[in-house]
Amino acid sequence: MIAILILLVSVGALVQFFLSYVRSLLLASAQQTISPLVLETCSLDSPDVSAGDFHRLRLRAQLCTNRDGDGSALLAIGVYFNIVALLRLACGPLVPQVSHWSELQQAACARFALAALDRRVAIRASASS
Amino acid sequence: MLSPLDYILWAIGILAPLYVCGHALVRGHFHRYVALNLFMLASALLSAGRFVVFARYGFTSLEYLYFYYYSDCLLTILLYFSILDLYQQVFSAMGVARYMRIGSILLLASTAAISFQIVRDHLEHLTGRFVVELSRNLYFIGLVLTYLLWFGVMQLKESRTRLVQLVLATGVCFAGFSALYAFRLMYPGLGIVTFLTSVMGSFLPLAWAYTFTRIPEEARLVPAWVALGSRR
Repeated sequence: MIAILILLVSVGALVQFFLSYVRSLLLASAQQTISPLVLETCSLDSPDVSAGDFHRLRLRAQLCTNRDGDGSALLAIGVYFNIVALLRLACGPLVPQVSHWSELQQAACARFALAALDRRVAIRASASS
Repeated sequence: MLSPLDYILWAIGILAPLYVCGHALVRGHFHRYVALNLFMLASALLSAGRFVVFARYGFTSLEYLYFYYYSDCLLTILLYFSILDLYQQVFSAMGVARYMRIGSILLLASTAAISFQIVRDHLEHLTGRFVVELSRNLYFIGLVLTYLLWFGVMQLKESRTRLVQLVLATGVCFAGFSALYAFRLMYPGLGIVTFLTSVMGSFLPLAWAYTFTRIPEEARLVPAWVALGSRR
């Protein structure tokens, strides 16, 4: 009985801490400026990306060999993106606010992937110069 | 039999903490986060020690089992002090460091006493049972303390991004290990728990490595935006 109680409390706290942690990563990356070169390479007019860009940008970041030690953070963002997608799928049609919120969250995930790509390209450029 | 993924996680468990310590030494902030860095150093050394014992005696040997649980207990105590280090950083302006030190030692002693009370009837392998019980209880106490610290961060509107991320990553670690210990108590011998324990063991050094590398000391954020209820 006590084990079940501890398990429930721990899993609840784990979800809350993990989601808050990922949100702190997203907020930190939102402040990073993106170079015009990366925007041009990704055929983007501005750093304001949408949820639909996430997979494309993450793939590009993963293809870049200079990892900059942020592979685990990108993985965590991917998990968060999928959790939000599931939430959107389940509650979006019923609650429009959830749909709007999840759109913002997934766009922030795409922005994180773009920032990761920008850092990796910058490392590559400085290494080759 | 361990899979290549298990070996990769093991390597991460040794290299990532060493990176955190090395980075702290190079950048000169080892003393600023001294408990965190000591925990990382011990984590790397004990992970390497576990690998040596594993290579010599095997994964299912009694020697490995004892080494694993004794080292885990030591790491839990060090992680407990890391949380207190974060407490001191968050509440530094209030000048309550002395009271927190006394309170934390009393809490640790009480947890050890309660753990001993639980296992004292088992005369066989008393010490072994005690260290497992102490680890399990400390993970839960650590989780509660991290939760209170997170509450304090929100109330005090602590805006240091680095500190916020360190607290949240530690919370993930304590909650994850606490859940895994509870799960192991309910379903002993389940293989997936061992794998998830390795994943959780790799998370904290990787998260701290990311924070210390990518987030500058002067970076700031609004903690309320991180909370789940935030619309941002």
